Amino acid sequence: MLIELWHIFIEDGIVLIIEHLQLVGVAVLSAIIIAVPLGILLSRDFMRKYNHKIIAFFNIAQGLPSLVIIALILPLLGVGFLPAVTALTIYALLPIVRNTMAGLNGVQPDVVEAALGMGMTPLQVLYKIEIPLAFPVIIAGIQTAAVISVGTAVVSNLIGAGGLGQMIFTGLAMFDSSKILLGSLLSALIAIIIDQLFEILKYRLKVIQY
Amino acid sequence: MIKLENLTKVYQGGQKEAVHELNLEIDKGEICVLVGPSGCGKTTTLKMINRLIEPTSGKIFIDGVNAVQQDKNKLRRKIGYVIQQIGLFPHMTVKENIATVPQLLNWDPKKVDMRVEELLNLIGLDVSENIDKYPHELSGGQKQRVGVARAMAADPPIMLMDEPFGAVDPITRSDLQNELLRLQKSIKKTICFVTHDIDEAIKMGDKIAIMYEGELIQYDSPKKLLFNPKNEFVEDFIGSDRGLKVLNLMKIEEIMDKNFKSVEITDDCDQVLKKIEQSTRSSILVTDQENKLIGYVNFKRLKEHKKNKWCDFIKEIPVIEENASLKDGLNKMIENDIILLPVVDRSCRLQAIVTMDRLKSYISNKYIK
Ligand SMILES: Nc1ncnc2c1ncn2[C@@H]1O[C@H](COP(=O)(O)OP(=O)(O)OP(=O)(O)O)[C@@H](O)[C@H]1O
Ligand SMILES: [Mg+2]
Repeated sequence: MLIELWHIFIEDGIVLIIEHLQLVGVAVLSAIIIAVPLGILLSRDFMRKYNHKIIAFFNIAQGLPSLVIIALILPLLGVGFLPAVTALTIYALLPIVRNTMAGLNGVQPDVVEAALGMGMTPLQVLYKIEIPLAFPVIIAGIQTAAVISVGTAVVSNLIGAGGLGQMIFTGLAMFDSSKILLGSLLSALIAIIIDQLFEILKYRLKVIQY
Repeated sequence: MIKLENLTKVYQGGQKEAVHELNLEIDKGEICVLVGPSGCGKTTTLKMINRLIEPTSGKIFIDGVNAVQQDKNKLRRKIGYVIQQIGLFPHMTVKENIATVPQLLNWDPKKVDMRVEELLNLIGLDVSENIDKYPHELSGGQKQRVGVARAMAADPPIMLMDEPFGAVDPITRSDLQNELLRLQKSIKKTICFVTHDIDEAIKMGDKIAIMYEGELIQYDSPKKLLFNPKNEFVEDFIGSDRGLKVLNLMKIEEIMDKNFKSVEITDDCDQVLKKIEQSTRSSILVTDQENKLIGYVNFKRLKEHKKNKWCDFIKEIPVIEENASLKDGLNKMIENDIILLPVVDRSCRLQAIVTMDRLKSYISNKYIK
């Protein structure tokens, strides 16, 4: 059994892991690039009234099964790496936007007032005070996004994403329990490793900051 | 220096005016204290001066220039601001906090470093021990000091301080007050200081503005306020111990008497007796040849034991300096059961005297009316 797993790992596993990490990496990076500025924008004063509603929306959207988004992408963009990454990105946006907003909202108003009162422009207040203070919360959002994406990436093999999903689905189709087992174990392992790396990062941040 | 003209603020959704038609002029180099019960509009007034809050109507002039016509951020960099909740930046060290405005003004980094150290010394915080600490590693009192240092960093001519010593125990509070007063003697800023504590107001203020429900009730020097409260509200707000507060406020130099007799240690006994007889008192102060106070001698005892070594009868006497408060003076008299205190300078040279009678009549003349 173990030897069989090892053979599959050597033959397909390594390539598929790299593919999987590419999927997750590209998706999370694009999600960060879109979600952080969006979160900042949505938390500005002129949007503050709607803040609770927006966060509630993101919480509900997060609750949708990833399959739904993947299914929606298929008729729009077809199959392949790009549609899969798009679906993953959309799904990863949610926790990052939500946490960016929550982090910025959580900054003490008196700290912002002091900064303004000393003559910082709103932009300076944003990048010198608000973003650094919200940073740990934003990082936690990215962590959630990355961990979830590892799982979503498996499912996105349905639209031809490749990665470890390919191994699992092949296993399912061929009743090959070794492939199913190895694919699942490897994706779980990746999720755990990514999660722990973020934990270390957050710990570092905490040590530096407070 | 700062002039507020018919300043009015109605908050969005608020029915009442938080500040109503406020007129106030703060002279250069003076501390003006805004005082009044919670919610009377002190913070609102302060924030209108640095335009954190835009007035609904009315004008603000700073050095004769309408504040509304100036760039907000430039204006604020010239006005030190200590906010009510301290508001130190939690992710920045003490040094980075204090350096905020100098950095906004693009000071040379070396100059910034020097200024930060200078300020830490000024506010009495050990430089090497505190400069790299984060705010959460400081005590409440230390935080407030850093808050004040941060506001003073770029040496702004104007300071707005919103209950800067609100969050500390009475002893630390009194220390901080004394330090600020000591500093103010040399830095001579124009300060608008908010508190709801009338004792703090009397201690800190060159002028006091008493506010109530958004209106300015009385704007006067602490003395005028104590001696001539405009109405019952002011009287109540000052409290029933007005007389004692007057004692706290007035200095010995205001009531001391420079017309008095003393003898020198080199005088002989007859001269001493003669001098005492000329005065209306039963004892006389004794100094050395440099006018330094030695003590006093009692007439009766001297007469009974008349002999050449009259110096043996000299007794010690507590002294007071001319910038001490009347309260200190009264306290010394009561504690030592005496009715006369010699006033001396720093090197113990006799300057004048204060007597219980004088103290009493001064207070009652000024105050009872
Ligand atoms: N942002 C705001 N929106 C609406 N009303 C406000 C706002 N800020 C203050 N007020 C109201 O304006 C009035 C004056 O408030 P302000 O903060 O100036 O009082 P204060 O004298 O500083 O009181 P305290 O001693 O408690 O700090 C209060 O009645 C308060 O409820
Ligand atoms: Mg206030």
